[in-house]
Amino acid sequence: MNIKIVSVFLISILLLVCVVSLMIGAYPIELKAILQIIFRFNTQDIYPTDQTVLLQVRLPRLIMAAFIGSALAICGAVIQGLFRNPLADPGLIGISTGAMLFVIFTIVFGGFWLSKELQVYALPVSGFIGACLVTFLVYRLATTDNHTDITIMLLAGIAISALGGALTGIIIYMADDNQLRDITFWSMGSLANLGWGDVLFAGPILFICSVILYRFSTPLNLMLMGESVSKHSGVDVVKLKKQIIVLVAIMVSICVCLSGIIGFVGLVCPHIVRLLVGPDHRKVISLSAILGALMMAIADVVSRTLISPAELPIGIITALIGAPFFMWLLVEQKKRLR
Amino acid sequence: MLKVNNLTVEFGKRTIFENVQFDVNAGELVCLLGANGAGKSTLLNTLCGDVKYKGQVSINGETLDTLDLKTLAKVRAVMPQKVILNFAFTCFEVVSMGRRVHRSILNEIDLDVIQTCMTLCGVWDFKDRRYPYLSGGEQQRVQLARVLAQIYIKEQQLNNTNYPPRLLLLDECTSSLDPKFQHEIYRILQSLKKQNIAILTIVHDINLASQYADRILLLSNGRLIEDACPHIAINSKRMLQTYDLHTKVIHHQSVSRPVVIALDQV
Repeated sequence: MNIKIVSVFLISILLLVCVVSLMIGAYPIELKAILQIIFRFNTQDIYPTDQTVLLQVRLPRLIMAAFIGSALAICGAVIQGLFRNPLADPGLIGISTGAMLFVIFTIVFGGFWLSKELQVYALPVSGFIGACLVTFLVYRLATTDNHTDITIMLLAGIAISALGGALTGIIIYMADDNQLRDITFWSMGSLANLGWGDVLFAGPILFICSVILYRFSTPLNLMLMGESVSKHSGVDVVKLKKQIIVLVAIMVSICVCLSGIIGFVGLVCPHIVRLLVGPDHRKVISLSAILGALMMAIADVVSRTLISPAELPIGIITALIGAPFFMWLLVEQKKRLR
Repeated sequence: MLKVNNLTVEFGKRTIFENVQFDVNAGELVCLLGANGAGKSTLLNTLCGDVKYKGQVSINGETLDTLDLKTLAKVRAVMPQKVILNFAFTCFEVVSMGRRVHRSILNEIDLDVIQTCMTLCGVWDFKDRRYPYLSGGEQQRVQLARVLAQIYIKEQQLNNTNYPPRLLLLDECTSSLDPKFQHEIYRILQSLKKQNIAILTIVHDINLASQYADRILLLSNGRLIEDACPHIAINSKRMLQTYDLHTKVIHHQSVSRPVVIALDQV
């Protein structure tokens, strides 16, 4: 399919979902009021509550949802390319597990030496440190003499994930009831409580990392034919792998810290895009970004409205939509191969 | 163009080959023959820079180690025996990847080169077909078009400016082709001589090598036992040494080169 048609189509749905997302929720806001507040006309007619809910709660949350969705989808696309495996996922090299282990450790044991105010900041920071440490460890395990073996890296990722899971289990076993609740909700993912501070902190970093990853499209295309083909075509494979893994670790750990573990966006989005426009990374990365944002925006609306005024963790929604869809994709692919 | 001097490769304590010495000149088609496990592929991989070695390898007078990957990719293309690509690129996309080392956004000349190379290899007709759904032989021709595109220079340019000679390394590029295309590919390779390209290729089919090679290298037990034109290199004694196979070499009037046939029993 033509990339222009697909992107125009996706962007228009994304805009539509964004507007709907701003309108509905526990506190509905009319379309007219939204336009008034955003484009600043007839300001005397605006209800202050409308303005507060829109500007302080929904807008930053929507922007963050879109950013996180894009970032996860781009990371998924790039990791699938790097591992030459359409079923790969940043979670596979242990990034999410590392972040989770450290965050849960902080939730359970942080109370002993951190004041209540500090704990709020401690969670994202510890998640980031955990993600980077585990990625580094997996990378070291898979690297000998400047050569990184991707298969060993996947296996090491699985081993480290199992180890991290076990350690997490031990920590959870020691947690009390309140902490258990925190852990459960965090690990299912949530976009609640995200504000402009998060947008200003995470937005630019995610955006810059995405642009850099996009610029690796051509070498990534060559990587799909194997490392030696890439090398003989003039790609510095060693450097490329390092750069991509570091960028993905940064992006995924930021996402995990802000919103917990959100599955399936990174796995499914690049897949759908490949079915639509083919495997060229220039197309896959840019369209995955749009589709990831779209998927997260939809999941966010659903999570806020399904049992309103309460809220479902967004990770549940992405899994609920993503997992059956993914199974359908697999069945379709089997049919195609026949 | 390519100069190999005192080349030795060891994996741990095992010596794969030692003191190998040969040249490949621009416009020359050289075939490397040897039994399974004789070290042919390792030798080719060494020239690709994938294997640690002792000795000297130089391309256009510059040592292999000192050339950076990008410069190297512009003068040397490598076609591996098998490329596994499970993602559904079109053939055109695959071939155009070979051109990316020159520019990240392809221009008119690049597109022209891609078309020329694809036409040469007989794959222009299915440029829009998806690579993973092609047969093994078709895939191999697409890959050949890709590596050709990497170092190909259009004739007009070739006359205008002074381009350095380039090197093409092929690892059994005809292994999954039918006889017609095997010969077709070797005719294409011969036609590249006027492109000022030096070609070194691993072949298993002795007669194919005999018919098209300018020179033949025989590798046996880690030593280069012959480096000569087909008329000299191909004889039953050398074949026995190389392959441990009893053969008869015949000269037939319809082909100008020696033909080898295996004997039933000795």
